[in-house]
Amino acid sequence: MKIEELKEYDGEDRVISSYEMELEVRKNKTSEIKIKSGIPTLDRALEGGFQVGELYALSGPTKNGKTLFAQSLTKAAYEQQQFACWFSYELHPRQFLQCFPELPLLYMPKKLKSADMKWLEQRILESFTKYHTRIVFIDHLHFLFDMFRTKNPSLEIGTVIRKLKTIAVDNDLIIFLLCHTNKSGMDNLSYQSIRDSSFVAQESDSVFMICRKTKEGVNAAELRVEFHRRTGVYEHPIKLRKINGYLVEQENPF
Amino acid sequence: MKNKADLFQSSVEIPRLETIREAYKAEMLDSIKFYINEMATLRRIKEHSRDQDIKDEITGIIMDEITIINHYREELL
Repeated sequence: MKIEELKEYDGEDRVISSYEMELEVRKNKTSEIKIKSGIPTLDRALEGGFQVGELYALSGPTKNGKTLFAQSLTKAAYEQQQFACWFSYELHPRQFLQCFPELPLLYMPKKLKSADMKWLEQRILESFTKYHTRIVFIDHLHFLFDMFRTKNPSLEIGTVIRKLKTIAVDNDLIIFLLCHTNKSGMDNLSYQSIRDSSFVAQESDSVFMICRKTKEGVNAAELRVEFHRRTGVYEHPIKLRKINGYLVEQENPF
Repeated sequence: MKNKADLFQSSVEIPRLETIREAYKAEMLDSIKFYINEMATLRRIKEHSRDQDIKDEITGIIMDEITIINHYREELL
């Protein structure tokens, strides 16, 4: 397009002023939707809850409560009549469903296909179109690309994370991505402990780390909001306890 | 002469009962699907509505539908 023609350009992607954009954003009420975590301290830290368009990375060492925390969020969302769409690559459907003390209404593909982002996007959109599922859980990152064929896992992960963020923004969804940690040990856990790529932390809106605190009891855990871009929260710990099959905030922290 | 147990196991009654049971199950499953689809529609309306009364009413309807679905689920399990 010539410079002169650009003066008249009126496409969807035309450049507009911040004031026009502000009006556009206000018109879209969907962008104000928030879903509470059911954990009061976390909801306060997130200024009311998880907001649509956000991508959350949820990480922690193996067997330290990542899936349990995600299931606790699923239950909290269900109680707000927000039903989740789950991609549980790690667990067989039978095991996954049995993890819920009382099965909430949620949605999941009848069959899973790994390492296919196009397929994943289609299923997320299918679930949203059919069942209006604004909250998505993916367990876990390393099923979204082919580890054995990729030469540079870090770059591959960067592409995956960017795609997920785009899906969340374009469709007003909240996406939770579960990620494993590297073997840095339990003492130095931070967003830098996420396995294989710094892109996870760089491209996500927030990173949560979860680990069990066995010294404080078999059911004790700590959730740490490593950072949250919208609210500016940084390294914010929250004490949790597993009660009746779900992680809830501990009223009297250990 | 057949006794009661023999009659119960005869080939006439049992298949018919099974058929009725299967039809009943299929009907319940259809109802679950119906309510699930309706809930999605109601939740869309609720999200776009600015009227708090409508939102509250939809919340109540969805709660009732979840109760019905759970009742059917228990029957089916």
